[in-house]
Amino acid sequence: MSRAYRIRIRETLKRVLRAEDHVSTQLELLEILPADEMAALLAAELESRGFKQKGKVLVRTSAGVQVAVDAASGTVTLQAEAEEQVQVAGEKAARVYEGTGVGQQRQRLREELRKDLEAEAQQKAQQLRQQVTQRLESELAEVQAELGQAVNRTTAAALKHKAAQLGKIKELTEDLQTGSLTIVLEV
Amino acid sequence: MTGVTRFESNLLTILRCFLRRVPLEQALPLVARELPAPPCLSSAAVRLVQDSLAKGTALVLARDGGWRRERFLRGDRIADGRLWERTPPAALGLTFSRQAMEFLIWITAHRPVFRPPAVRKRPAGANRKQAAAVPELGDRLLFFLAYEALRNTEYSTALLQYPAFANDGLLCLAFPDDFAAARIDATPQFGRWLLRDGTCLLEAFQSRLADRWVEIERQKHDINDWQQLDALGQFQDRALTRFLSAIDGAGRRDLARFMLTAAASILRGPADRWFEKLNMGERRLADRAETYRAGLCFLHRLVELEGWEREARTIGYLDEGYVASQLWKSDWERLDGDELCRAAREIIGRSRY
Repeated sequence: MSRAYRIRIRETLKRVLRAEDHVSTQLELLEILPADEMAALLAAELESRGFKQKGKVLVRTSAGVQVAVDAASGTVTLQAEAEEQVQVAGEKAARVYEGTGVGQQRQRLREELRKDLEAEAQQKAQQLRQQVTQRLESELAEVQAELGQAVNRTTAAALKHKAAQLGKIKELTEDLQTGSLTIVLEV
Repeated sequence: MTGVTRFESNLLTILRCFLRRVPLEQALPLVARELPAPPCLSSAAVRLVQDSLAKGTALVLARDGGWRRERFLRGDRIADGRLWERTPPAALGLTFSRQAMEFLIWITAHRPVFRPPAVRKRPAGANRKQAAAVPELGDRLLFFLAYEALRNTEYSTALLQYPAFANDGLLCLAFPDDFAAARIDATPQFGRWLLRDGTCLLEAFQSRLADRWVEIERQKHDINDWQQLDALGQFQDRALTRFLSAIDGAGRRDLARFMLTAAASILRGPADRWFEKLNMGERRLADRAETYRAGLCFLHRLVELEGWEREARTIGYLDEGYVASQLWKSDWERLDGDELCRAAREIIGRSRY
């Protein structure tokens, strides 16, 4: 009668998980003034809101989300990243019988355990991706609202410039809450 | 009374089915049956095939859209009227090569069987010579009609693997959903369709193309698998991009008219119906945006046609392309291109992520 052995395999898997997500949207700027002047006004408005010029785009980071605005094209890109070091450990045991290739069985058990640990690491990676996406989604709504205001202010500034070019501004009434702007010109 | 063999009789019935003279139910059992091909066909059979092709294709083109009184470019002037009034009938003749006959013999002799692309690139019986030879316009029309007749049968995917079908521009443009579903990696070729006689066929098929694209876009409302939408959108985009580039290069922007006609129907429904059943799961925003972009490729391309409109407005009376620009402006205004683009942008804006 062959002897029975109990073999136990322990494995630890270390991984650096990285997750990234991004989304782009477009600002709708009316061409009240030439495109480059509109871009300059938008850039000035964004700088007053904490954006910094970085090459061709204006960038701001908050709550782990980077917002980049190309004032010339009106393209807004939001990007979020995350990195996490994880360690997953596991154990597998099996009963093997003498003379039935203990070494091979041990190897098979190790491979099964590694597969399980990889699957666990993948699950954690998926969770990290979902967290990044949720963070991006929550920032997106706020950023869109804020950029909408920035566009309104830019439009108002452009209208004032344009009005000044057309004639003498006699009266200017601006309601910041409703965003309405009334300009009375003497031409 | 002309006598033909059984094989030749089957071949003629299948051909007449493609030409819509015989119902599919009558031809389908003949397509399914495998029958050894003879060394050659009798002269009587060849004459009958020629006669069927000559009369049948003319009738199909006339009924499909050739009868419509429309305006299309002819060189540097606009031609008005039915297809045979815009182009003299003598110039509308179609040329058929041996490829047409070889295809008919193949489909009569063999049961078309689909092989996944990794296993087999050509269906059984289709040889390298067929792959290398360039089909004439008449052959291409026959292939189009054959596929159209059999596309709702079990043989449709096998046909798309037939050498002359795989990269045919008109097939890719009319049936991008079928190519996407069969995962056939085709590169739509429009060269032959944009030679003078080929453009006449594209003119006749304008309403057919419009109907097809309306059907495809409406079907997207019911898609819940994002991978299916991705594949479909990517193939549509490939076909449209190559088509628009080809007609622009050939100076025939008027052939994009079907897009405006289709858009008028597509954009009539409520804007929030798009992708209402689509299940994106836990995908990243970036991936969702890509899928939406693929799914809305038709609307994206439509918005790009505004560029043609802006360009047309800048072309003066003495400038080159004045007549073509006038025709484009006329179509744009008649089909309310500005409003279509506005509606398209609204849907694109709502569906970014």
